[in-house]
Amino acid sequence: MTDRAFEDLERRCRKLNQKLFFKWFFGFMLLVGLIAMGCFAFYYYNPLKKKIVAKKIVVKQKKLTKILPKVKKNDNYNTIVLKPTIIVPKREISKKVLKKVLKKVEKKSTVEKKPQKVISPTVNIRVTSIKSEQSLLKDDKNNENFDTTLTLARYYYNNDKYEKTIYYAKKANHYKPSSFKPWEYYSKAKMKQNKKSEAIEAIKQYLSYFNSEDAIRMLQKMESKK
Amino acid sequence: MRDFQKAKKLFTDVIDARYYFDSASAEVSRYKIENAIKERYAPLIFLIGDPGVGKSYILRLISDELKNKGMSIFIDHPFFDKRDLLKILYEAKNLKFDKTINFNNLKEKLLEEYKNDNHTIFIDEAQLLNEEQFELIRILSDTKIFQFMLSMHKEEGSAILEKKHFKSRTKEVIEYGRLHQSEVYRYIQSTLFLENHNEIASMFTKVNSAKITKYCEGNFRTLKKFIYTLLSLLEYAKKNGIKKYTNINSYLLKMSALDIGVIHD
Repeated sequence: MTDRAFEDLERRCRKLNQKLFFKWFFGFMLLVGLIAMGCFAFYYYNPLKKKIVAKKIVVKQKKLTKILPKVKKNDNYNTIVLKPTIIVPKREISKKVLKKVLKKVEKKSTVEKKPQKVISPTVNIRVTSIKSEQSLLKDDKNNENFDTTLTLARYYYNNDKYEKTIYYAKKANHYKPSSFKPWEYYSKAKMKQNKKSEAIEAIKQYLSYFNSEDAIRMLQKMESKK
Repeated sequence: MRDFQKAKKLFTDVIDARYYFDSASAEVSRYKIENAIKERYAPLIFLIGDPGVGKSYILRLISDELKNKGMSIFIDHPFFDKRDLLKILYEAKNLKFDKTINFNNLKEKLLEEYKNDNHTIFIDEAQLLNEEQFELIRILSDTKIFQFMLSMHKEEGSAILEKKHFKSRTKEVIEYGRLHQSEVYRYIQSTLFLENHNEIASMFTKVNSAKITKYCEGNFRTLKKFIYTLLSLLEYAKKNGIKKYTNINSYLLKMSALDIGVIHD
């Protein structure tokens, strides 16, 4: 065996190894690509899945059409009673069930207690410092929606104007009946007005339609207050 | 001491009875051939197999065994004329071959000379014979004085067996198979141990043997060539102090395979 022959063999062997590597590499990539395409096709073109998705969408649309109330401008919200305008069978919450849920919440709150973050008072900027009452009212007039109305409710509650808080909470409730926030401000305002029974009744009413942990926690707090 | 130069000589393509390897296929073929010659129930014996599996080796081995008893004639070059075969048979009996006598008279005289003994004529690479030569073999085998042992490549052999000369004749067809990977391992080990190359023999693992079998496809001739090349590469590496190739690895096996042309880059 001569030097030249040996070197030539080594070179050919290296070339062959490179060829084999690329062959396997591209083969593997092709396989991965095919699997990915298969998964994609299965996920997006599965007739069974399509049916399920279509069904879900229909249900959602139905709900939305039922949930969204017709909001008329210049409604007098003082005369409207706060209620969720959703057409769902009303659930009667028995005391037993309520107790069970309350126990669960208690357990969770005891287990999931994390060290509270210390927030410096400078960070706690109130909404009022960002927008004045006038600008908020102007916003509400120009573009009536849930967010601006709820902001106004929050603003009035923070500034101890409870009648106005109740008014805007009711207004916000009309935009989004499923949201607990308007109910929260409504109940808080009622509590401040020393109408504890009305506040509790409102939360209970909300709970008869929706299962909300925040509502249960708030109800618990309210009931514990003397 | 690893003497690769001496070791590689054991794998040259030479027929040496000392290095007969008793693979399953070789043993079965040998038994069948010996039995057919002994019993003389078939005037025609066909040994078919792929090129390089060891047909010629086994043919030569049995021919040499019978030669001692004065019963065999080995023809390794089948490119002969009708008269050439008669000439070979005349010379095997130390008879004078007279070219001037016509073919039929020569044949009659030959049969007269041979009629008292049973002879087996071994013809290697018989697939190269032409129609006329096959016809002569058929005529001579029909006399029952001569028994023919024809070794042929598998593909061509199968076609020849379908020809009218042999289709209806009593014959023994023996197929010679390829080596299994365990046989390749045993062959390498036994050949190297036979000449005390124990250290080199220990370099061949079962995994290496499996790879070698894959490259050689169980072909005996290719296997010998492969081992010869592999040992030449190891010898070169040892001589030039290339540490990368002090032991058998997949790189060296690939280089050997490339060199003998069983794989291509």
